[in-house]
This record gives sequence, structure tokens and C-alpha cells, in this order.
Amino acid sequence: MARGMKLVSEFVAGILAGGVLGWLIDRFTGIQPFGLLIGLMFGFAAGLRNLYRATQNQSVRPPGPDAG
Amino acid sequence: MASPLEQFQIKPIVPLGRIGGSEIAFTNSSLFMLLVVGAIGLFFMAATSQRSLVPGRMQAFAEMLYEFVAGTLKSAAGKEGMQFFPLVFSLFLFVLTANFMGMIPGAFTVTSQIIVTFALALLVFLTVIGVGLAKHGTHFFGLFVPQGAPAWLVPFLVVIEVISFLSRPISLSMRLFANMLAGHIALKVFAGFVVSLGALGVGGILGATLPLGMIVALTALEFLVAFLQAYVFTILTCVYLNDALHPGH
Repeated sequence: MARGMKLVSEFVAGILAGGVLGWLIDRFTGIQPFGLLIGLMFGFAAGLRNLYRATQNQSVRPPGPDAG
Repeated sequence: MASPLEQFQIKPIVPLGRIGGSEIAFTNSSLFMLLVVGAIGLFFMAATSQRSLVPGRMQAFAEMLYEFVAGTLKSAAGKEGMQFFPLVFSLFLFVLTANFMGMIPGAFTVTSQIIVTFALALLVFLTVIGVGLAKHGTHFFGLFVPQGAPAWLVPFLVVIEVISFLSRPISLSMRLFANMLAGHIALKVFAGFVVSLGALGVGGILGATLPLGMIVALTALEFLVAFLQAYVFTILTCVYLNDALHPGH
């Protein structure tokens, strides 16, 4: 359960960060819905990236190229 | 019967006045934060007062804690990581003690408040940015550029990496907060079952033994989670500090 919680929080945090960023861009530029929409898309991608990274480094990450 | 969420309510103890529209007060949360810090301070003062070559029980425990955190930090961030040992050790002790103090019945769980865990995570996050910029300057931003990607993909990947980086304090704080919150709610809900079933007479009392057994199991699990989450918070702090010290990996 602890591991599932970790992965879920990684994924949700990505979406949240993307959404908040998009929403802030909306507020400051006034392009109402598009910032949030695109932000959520990128947040989704970032969440998946987080998930991928979290499942890759189960143990401590060895210093080496982190291929993206 | 008390609501399972009542334990998370912030109650002002000593009102200190108002700033802007919000009330500033010394609350039960502040009280327990002080208690946590006080308990850590007292323990280490007692543990290090003897300073014998052959450690006593307390001193051995303090040394074990030190070795544990130092080992974690060294394996994640290398030898240079040890300059952040005070920060990492304080974070680990604060989270661990706050989690365990929350397991005392009736005590307030400081780490079940997202603003507390988020403040801790933000401290780590800003330290990583500050140290990364101070040590490597603009080279630090190389962290966001993945190697070996086709050129037309790089702008997208950079945006994704930046958002992924920004999501770190969120996931770090949310994990600790959600684990503590969920565990304490589950305990309270099962405890509520015992009370309401017990009021139903003999059959109810027999039935109430089931949730009671569940509480015993959940309490054991919660102690494990309390330690595990403090450890996870610490090891992720170390991994992020490693990024600040060696970007480009």
C-alpha cells in the first residue's frame, strides 16, 4: 500500500503542478481556458514522467545518464 | 459520537491578534510542534550528556539514529552531501517524532496538516534551487534538458521536465500528509464502530470484537507507516539534494 501511495502521489502531483502553472498563466495573460488545458496536458505528461522515474529508481539511483 | 475528522481541527489556545483578515493564535498545532522539538532536544541533551566511549542505552540509540541518517545521505548524495547533514537530520527527526507523537491517543498529529508538510517540502525545494544555482550557476538548468532526445522534441521535454521538477514539493508533502491523514481517519472510524456496536447489547459486544481486532492491527501498521514515511521523506530529500550537487546526471 505504501508503494501504491507513493506512485499515486507522484502522478497526481505532476497533474496538479501542470494545472496550477496553466491556471497562473491564464490569470496573468487572460487567455482564459487554454492555459489551464495545455497546462493539464503537460502536467499529465510530467506525472507519467514522474511515475516512470519512480519505478526506475527503486533503489538509490546510481550516478549515470538518466535517459529521457 | 465524535466525527473522525474532529482530531484534525485547529483550536486556538492563546489568541495573538489579527494580521490582515486572518486570526493569528498559538494553536494546538503549534503546541505539538513545540512539544516535538522539545522532546528531540531533551532526548539528545540526555543522550549526549555522558559521552562515554562505551555508549549507554540512550547514547547508543542517538548514535544509531545518526549513523542511519548519515548512511542514507551518503549513499544518495555522496560524500559532499554530508554538508547538508544538519538539515536532513533535523527534517528526519522532526517528521519521525511528529508522526510518533501523533500515535499517542488524544495527541494532535502535526504532520496530518498539509500546510506543515508543504512548508517542510518547500524548504527542501528552495534549498535545492539555492544550492544548485550557487554551485553551478546556469549550468544547474541543464537538469531540465534531457540528453539524446531529437531536437524537435527538446522544447516539449523541457516543459515537461520543469513541471516534473515543480511537482516535487507537492508529491513530497502530499505523500506524508495523505498517509498520516488516512491512517488516523481509519483508526478513528474503526474505533467508532466499536462504540456504536457495543451499545447494541450482548450480540453487539460480540460483534464489536471484530473492529477492535482491526484497530490493534491498524495501530501496528500505523507505527510502521509513521517510520516509513519519515524515512521516505528523508531519502527523497537526499535524492533531490543530489540533483543540486550533481546536475546533469
